Amino acid sequence: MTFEAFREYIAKTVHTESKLIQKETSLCEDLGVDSLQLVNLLVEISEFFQVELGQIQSNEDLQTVGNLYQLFGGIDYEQSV
Amino acid sequence: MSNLYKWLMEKEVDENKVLLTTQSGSFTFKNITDEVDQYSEVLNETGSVTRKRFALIVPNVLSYMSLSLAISRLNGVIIPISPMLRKEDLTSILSFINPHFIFSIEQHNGIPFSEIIHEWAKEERKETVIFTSGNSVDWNCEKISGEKRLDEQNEKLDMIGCTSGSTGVPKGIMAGQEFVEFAARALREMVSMKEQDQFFLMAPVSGLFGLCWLLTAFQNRNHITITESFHFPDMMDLMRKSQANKLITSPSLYKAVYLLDQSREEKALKKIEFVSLAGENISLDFIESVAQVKDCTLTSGYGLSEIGAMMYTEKDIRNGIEWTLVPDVEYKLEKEEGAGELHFKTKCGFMGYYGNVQLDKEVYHDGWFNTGDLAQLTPEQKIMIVGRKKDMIKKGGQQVIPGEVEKVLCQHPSVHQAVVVGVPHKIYGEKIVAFMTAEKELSFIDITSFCSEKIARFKVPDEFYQLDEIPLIQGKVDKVTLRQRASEYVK
Repeated sequence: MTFEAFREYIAKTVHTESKLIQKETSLCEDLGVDSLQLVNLLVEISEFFQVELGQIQSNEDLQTVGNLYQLFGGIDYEQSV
Repeated sequence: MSNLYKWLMEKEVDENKVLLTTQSGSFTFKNITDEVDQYSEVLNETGSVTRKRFALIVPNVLSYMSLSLAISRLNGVIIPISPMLRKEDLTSILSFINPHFIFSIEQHNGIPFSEIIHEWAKEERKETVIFTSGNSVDWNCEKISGEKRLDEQNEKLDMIGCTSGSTGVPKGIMAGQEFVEFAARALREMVSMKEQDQFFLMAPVSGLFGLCWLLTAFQNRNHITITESFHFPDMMDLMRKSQANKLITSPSLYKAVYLLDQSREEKALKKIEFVSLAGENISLDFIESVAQVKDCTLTSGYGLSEIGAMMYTEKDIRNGIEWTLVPDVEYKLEKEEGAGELHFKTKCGFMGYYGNVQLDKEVYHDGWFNTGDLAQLTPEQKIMIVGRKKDMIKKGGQQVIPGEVEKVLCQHPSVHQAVVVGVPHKIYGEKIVAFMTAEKELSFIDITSFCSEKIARFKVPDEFYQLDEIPLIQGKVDKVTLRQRASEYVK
């Protein structure tokens, strides 16, 4: 799962342009994702990319697109951003 | 002093007993009554409060609760308003309820409530006293001058629960002490409330259901933990720290917590031994997803904000849903092709919609309230809910009125016609699907952004489809076909 594919998927789900999504983009404040949408996103990402969700320790893990990517074990994070 | 306030305060209690916990702290009976005294003093300084309407947009639960009790003590009318609203749905509700006083958070989730409210009050040109606060604790007061608003005439009215109406005009559900007492008896029955029980409420207290739970637990002197944040890590951290053994929430929120709990060693749901689920139908998908939950009884409640809790399941819903009527509730079914419309009658009845007698007549006849839900009887004469006649969508336990969303979509310059339906969804319970017609190709990104500025985020459609024309049947929009299409598209 590349970061590009990851942000494309999020953009499609929340009806926004993928170019507006960066690693620092806040899911709640910038993309308007509410808490239940976020859970839906976690489940859908997990199913679509066949990846397991890591341990959520705090709200910070779910704050930005980059943090969410890392939570799913995004491996080419540094290279692809 | 209202009868509601007397009833809430009459039961004896050790004043040092903790009765409320939120993310902001834990509060004893004395902490709460001290706050009530302070708010009463502030309100008394503004002049007469009797029969004045108070709009409350206060996310801090201690402040919200203390303010509500102080307003009730001084015979005012409590009108809770969700802090999730945006400019259009908020100002539409404010104009409808015509409040003398507004207590509001300055801003919440980036929405400038104070600015929106001041702008609204100035445009109204009616006298309004506005209290705003950055933290729901320290309040600034400003009086907007103008024409005086009329006092409330109905002496039995203690609160108004607001929702968006289907025709674009908001709906206000009136409630008084009798309703709250009836609701409290039903809620106690539904969860077999015992003195030692501690509750965790994962539902907004700005709705009548949440407010009745808050007041019921307080009146019964049970400890209740209420989340002020609906971000899952916040809710689940509070739950981990809480000693609550009984959880009240919606199926979609419970399922979400259960799913997220799988990724943590210290489970948020560990101490929960009883769950009461309300606000949405229980789907087969839900039952399957919680099949592995151990050492916990999952039950469900059925009710309406208008008339309170009507039925509940005594046994675990995973063994089949068998509804038991709340004491003093009767039901009848009006047949319609196998299933009938479900009506209820209670001792306390329905007080009516605020300022809308016509709507009362549509749903309430001879003491019977038409729920709009379709039900049939099983061979064992048990009620089984099979569908809904009304259009209302229930997403994540929140009500969404298609008419309100359609109205906003049609305000978009490119949209010609819009129809909104709800379809089953594994996380939301139901998701919102919009069908639209337009001369040119629509940008759903643009429409999402347009809607997000006007209405609460949960009301913004999750899926959009552009059609050449909206299907009709006998001159009316064929929502059955659209729902089928939406379900197929979603798959």
